[in-house]
Amino acid sequence: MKLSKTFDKALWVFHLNSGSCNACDIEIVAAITPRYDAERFGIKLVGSPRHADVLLFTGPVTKKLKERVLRVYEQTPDPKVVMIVGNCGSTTGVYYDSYAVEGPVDTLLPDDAHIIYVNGCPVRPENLINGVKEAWLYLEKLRGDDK
Amino acid sequence: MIDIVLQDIWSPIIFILVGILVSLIAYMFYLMGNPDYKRTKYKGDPFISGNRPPTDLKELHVGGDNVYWGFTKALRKYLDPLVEGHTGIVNDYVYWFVVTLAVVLVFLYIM
Repeated sequence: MKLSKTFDKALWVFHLNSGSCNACDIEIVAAITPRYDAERFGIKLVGSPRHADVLLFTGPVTKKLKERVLRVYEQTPDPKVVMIVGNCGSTTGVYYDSYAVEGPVDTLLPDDAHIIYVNGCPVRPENLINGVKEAWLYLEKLRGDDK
Repeated sequence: MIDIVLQDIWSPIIFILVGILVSLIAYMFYLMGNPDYKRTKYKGDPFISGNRPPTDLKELHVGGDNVYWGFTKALRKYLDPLVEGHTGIVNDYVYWFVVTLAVVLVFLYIM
């Protein structure tokens, strides 16, 4: 673990709402407000997956968004970590029997996707920041920087 | 003198040498790339908010008349009378010129 010493590169996150009820999205916004201020660590939301290290999904994947989820996943450069934020993304939650839902995010992504699950309904900003930290550690491992 | 220099520059030997040099530099850039890169279905697509990129080039084209769309829309109230005023008849333009000049002169006289 090199996190405390080498938090030298800003971690950029791309957020994709794959069918969320917006509760998790509001908590994500809360995490970057001055109260929690994730940006002081260099963690920030970016507007394009081309710039992102972490891909953040909220909500179950709806049928309409399935292709978009796959496209954005592939458009994010490697090495990347996927953060599935909220219970719906990992289990489809209360939408488990919805006609519009394709399934949880991890069932649609390729088998070699590196995934971090951040649970909660909705997630707390503290949990979210902790999840980003875990994603950062995962990325260090992927890049071979963890020694 | 200038002709001789130009002849030297355009010689095929220099062309080949420059070609080799440029190829080497390009290969150097290629080596600096990520060796683990795998081509997948959507990877090279442009990012348009996750949407499918249009295959028809006409959909990508933004015409010149669209560039000022918001501008013309916002100023429609002032623009329409101006467009109507452009009759294409010289007499009308002279009439506007004379009237405007008269108004300006009157204004200057009052001031």
